[in-house]
Amino acid sequence: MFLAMWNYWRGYVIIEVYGFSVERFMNLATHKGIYLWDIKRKGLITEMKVSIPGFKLLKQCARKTKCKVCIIEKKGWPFVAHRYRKRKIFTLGMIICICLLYLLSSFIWVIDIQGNNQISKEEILETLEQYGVKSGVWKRKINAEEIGHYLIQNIKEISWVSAYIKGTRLFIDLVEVVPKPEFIDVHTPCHIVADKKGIIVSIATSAGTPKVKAKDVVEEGDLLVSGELLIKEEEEIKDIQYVHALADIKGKVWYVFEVEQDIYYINKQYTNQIKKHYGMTYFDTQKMFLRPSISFENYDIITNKKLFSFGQNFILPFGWIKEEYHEYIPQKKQYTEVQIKEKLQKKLQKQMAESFTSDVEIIEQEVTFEKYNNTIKAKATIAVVESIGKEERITIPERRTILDGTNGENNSY
Amino acid sequence: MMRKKEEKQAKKKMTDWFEFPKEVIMDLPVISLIGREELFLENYKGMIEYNDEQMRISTTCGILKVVGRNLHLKVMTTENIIITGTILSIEYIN
Repeated sequence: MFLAMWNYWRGYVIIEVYGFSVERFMNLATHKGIYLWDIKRKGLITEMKVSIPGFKLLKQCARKTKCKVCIIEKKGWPFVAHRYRKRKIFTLGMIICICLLYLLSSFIWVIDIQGNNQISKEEILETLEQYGVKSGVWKRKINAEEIGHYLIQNIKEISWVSAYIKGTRLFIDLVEVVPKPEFIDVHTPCHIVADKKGIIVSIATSAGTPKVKAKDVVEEGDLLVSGELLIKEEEEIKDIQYVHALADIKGKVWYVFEVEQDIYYINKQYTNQIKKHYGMTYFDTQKMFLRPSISFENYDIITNKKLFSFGQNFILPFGWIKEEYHEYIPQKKQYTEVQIKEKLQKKLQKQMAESFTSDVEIIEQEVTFEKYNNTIKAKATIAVVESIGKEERITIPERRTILDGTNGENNSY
Repeated sequence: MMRKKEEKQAKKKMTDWFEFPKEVIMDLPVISLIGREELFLENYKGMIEYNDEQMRISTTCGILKVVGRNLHLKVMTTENIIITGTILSIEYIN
């Protein structure tokens, strides 16, 4: 492979030798240091390859051994160059082409983002654009490491970024921060309030003053456990101290889920009639060539975009577009009742899984089905027992001391 | 003539004794075979006969005859020869 490439670069000629003693000719040539290769005997004629400087020396050998030498083919770069030596514009075009390729490969054309689930790709791209990085930016101008720092600073949900450039691609691998629930420090006084409507099932307070008891109905925002500790002396309020209320409150909460399912669906029966349509893409514009006449009534379009690239990472901003029109015949079909119920159940389960955490206990479940024109609605009323309290910071009136809820230190004034 | 023979004998003894590579000291041909499709011959003197079924190559220790099918020379330089094709036999004839 490499030898062949080297030979092509240096140039060689394929020659035919015939005469009384080709062997003598070959011996003489090799003794002169001429490199011969791919020697094939075809009856009286011997075919062989020889380098260009070697060929010039061969004439002498041929004369000595009385052999005849003639050239069959000239191969290699020197001959090509010689043929085109007068075509200045052609050479210029080639040089420009190479320069253009080099120039185009020194820009970033594709930005690959990996590892984002919560953060949208657009957001990251927008942030990058603010920094000055977008498709078409000069590679030298940007510093991958700094891009990473900028992203971390400007998008809070990112905890780790690795940005690197490979060819014309900018890779951004990131790890997102797991969203942290708002957490109030145990030394900060707080109340516990209801975060949803429900009935209290059990309440176990370890710090603070309980304001509700089991079987109470609470609305969202109701105070459940107060962080205020009233210090009384003979029914007289002497002081109020603030603690970090701690309680395990379980409540019965009702949820209603509603899902829908169409009875009819359209089945696409593909006819295998495909029409293809080609086009070009450059930078962000797309130019389609002659659009074929499409007589299909219903069709799906499958678009295939392929950018020119050298290897995996040198992608250029041009490419081909192939559009395929697949014809289909729509068929209206109906689900059976069992199928619909199954589908609805699945949808309900999915919704429940999304809205409940694992420590939720389902105690009642009731599903009703209702039929509308073309859809069936399922309504599920679900009663669950779950913890319903959430912490809420206390805004302490001024000139009040704080009792630390955990170490019980008492600073009275 | 006798003297040349003696010299050869002495060289052979010396290489045996010192375990020198014989091909270097005594100028002997080295043949490497890859399967039966490629023959690499180092240190040859000249080509005597050449066609696609039989090749005769003169070496310092006699004429080497290679018989095969579709033989052709892949490379031919002053030092070595590479023969490719299907090799049937290799033989020294004197």
